[in-house]
Amino acid sequence: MNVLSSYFGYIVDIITDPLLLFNMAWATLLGILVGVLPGLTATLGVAILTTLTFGFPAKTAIAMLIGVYIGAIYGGSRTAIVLNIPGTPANAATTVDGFPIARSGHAGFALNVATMMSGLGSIIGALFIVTLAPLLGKLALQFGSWEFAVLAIFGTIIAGSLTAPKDPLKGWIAGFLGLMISQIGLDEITSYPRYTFGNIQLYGGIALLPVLVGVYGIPEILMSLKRTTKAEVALDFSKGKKELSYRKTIGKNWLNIIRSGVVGVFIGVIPGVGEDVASWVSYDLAKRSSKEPEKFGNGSIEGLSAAETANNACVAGAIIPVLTLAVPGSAPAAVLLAALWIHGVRAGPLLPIEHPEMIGNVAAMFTIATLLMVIFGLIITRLFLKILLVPTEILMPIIFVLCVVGTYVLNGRMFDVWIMLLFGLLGYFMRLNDFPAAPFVLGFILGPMADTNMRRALMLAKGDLLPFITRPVSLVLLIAMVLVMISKYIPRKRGAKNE
Amino acid sequence: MKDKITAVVFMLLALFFLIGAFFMPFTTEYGKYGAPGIVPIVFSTIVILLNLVMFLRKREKKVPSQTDQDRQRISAENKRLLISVIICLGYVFLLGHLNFIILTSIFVATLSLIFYRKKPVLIIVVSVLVTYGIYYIFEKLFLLPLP
Repeated sequence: MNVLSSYFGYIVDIITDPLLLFNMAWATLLGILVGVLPGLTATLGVAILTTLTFGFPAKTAIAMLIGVYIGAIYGGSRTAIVLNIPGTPANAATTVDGFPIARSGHAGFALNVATMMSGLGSIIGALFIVTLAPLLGKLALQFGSWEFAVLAIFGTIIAGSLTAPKDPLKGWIAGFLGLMISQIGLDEITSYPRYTFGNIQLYGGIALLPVLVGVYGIPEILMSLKRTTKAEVALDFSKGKKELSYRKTIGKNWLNIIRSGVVGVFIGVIPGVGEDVASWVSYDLAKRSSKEPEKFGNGSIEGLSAAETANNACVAGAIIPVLTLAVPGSAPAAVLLAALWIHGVRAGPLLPIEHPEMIGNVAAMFTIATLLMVIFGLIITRLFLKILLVPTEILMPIIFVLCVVGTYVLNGRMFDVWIMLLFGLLGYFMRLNDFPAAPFVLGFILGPMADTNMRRALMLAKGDLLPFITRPVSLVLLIAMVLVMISKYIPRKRGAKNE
Repeated sequence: MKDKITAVVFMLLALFFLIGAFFMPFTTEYGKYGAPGIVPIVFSTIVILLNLVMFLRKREKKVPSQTDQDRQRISAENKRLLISVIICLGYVFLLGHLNFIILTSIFVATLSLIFYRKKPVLIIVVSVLVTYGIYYIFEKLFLLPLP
């Protein structure tokens, strides 16, 4: 209740601070721009803005990063609807029904419905930040080294399973590669230099930002530059608003909106599983419970609503474990976690003690960014779509420069740029061979947490492994992990036998 | 076949980490359970085992037959990829050795003009303006030094 009352107070604080509001406004607008441009992901947008916010006070910087994150996830729907290309991976499910609606002459209606649904999804998400985060925070205080060690591996495996549903083995390999590579640098207990080979630059380990920009940005730039085919654009606004009613759309879809919002939040909470999975799961649930399932894929408003509500609600869900466990729910949330550290905010179970205002503040920032997003979305959507006319061949070299510059300014050394390119190469190789990037990045982030807690747990128990299965939370996580891994293969084998 | 090659590459990488971990001290001031190599041994062993499963499994993947058109497209795409990689690497190599604004303007204009052979004057103007914009935002507005 305390967090809920302070939440409204923080909203008033933000509204009455014109400078903060202005910074949030341009960051949200920048996020929408990032989302609109195919190839630029929310992760990249948050990463690039992190480098730009070094000089800002922590509160302003975090508010701006939340703005760019929400804006980018929403902005991706614009491209998904008019271009049939998801602006960010989170909007892949939006294309299925958004593009057919746009092609039928209702582009304006589809764009506005997506705006409203994204707004509603974000508001549902903000309410969950206020209510769920303090509860999860209290639970996290009960965690010991055993639980944190298992949680790190659990998160990586779940992310691997969900981001590579066709071949989870590749997801797990990507995750454990991330965990393994994260061991480079001074270890946190004995300060022994691991895999540094006397190179002082490696003593501090490999920074998260070059890895993120490399793994997500470089493969996208290379893929876009090498592509020779061009996409079809459905900028058909010929049919007016009269034929379809926004009020009826919300009235008929209220259950779908709430369900998709809640599903989005809870998928967001799962470590490493991002907005793309949330929108697909919600889309599937909406189709199963729809009275008109045959319309799905041919321009169903229910389908469009489910996908767009879920992906924005998921943003909030992904932030909840960042704040309470220091475990990111999605890739952009991982950059947000890094940005919190850079700005001196230590996320995790101690956050409510060290920064008691933070949870309510983040929820308030989230709400204001959502309002800004809806306002911008409804007013200047069509103007933004003109950006789509900029050829990829011109855009991608500029994005490459931003990736290089953004990585360089982190520590002012070329070493990070080379690391970024090295991980870019690895990311490209992984993408060509169908290895998902998300579990790799999550493994890289959680690696130090797994390492420190696993050894601390061993030291406390004098090498006894039993506490891992005698402590209830640790046992539950271990059982869930094993069940997830087994469940991925049992139906596959049955299916194979039937074939 | 692609999976098997990938599995071998990742196994070799994990083997490198595993061997490296065995060269780390096994006893520390925190006792043997504080040894820095424990967790890298666990993770690299898991990576090796998972890749071994990928290497040994039998998965028949239907490879769609390629038409001449497909082969031409793939060849064109590979050519574009190679050119992009060379120019991007060249740009990073030269960073810090040449003036940032001049080098970046040339880089953006060159890469754009190679693939988008229209409106060269406009592209050059855009390249210079965008580069100056980046320089101004980072170096002047946020006081972050550029290479």
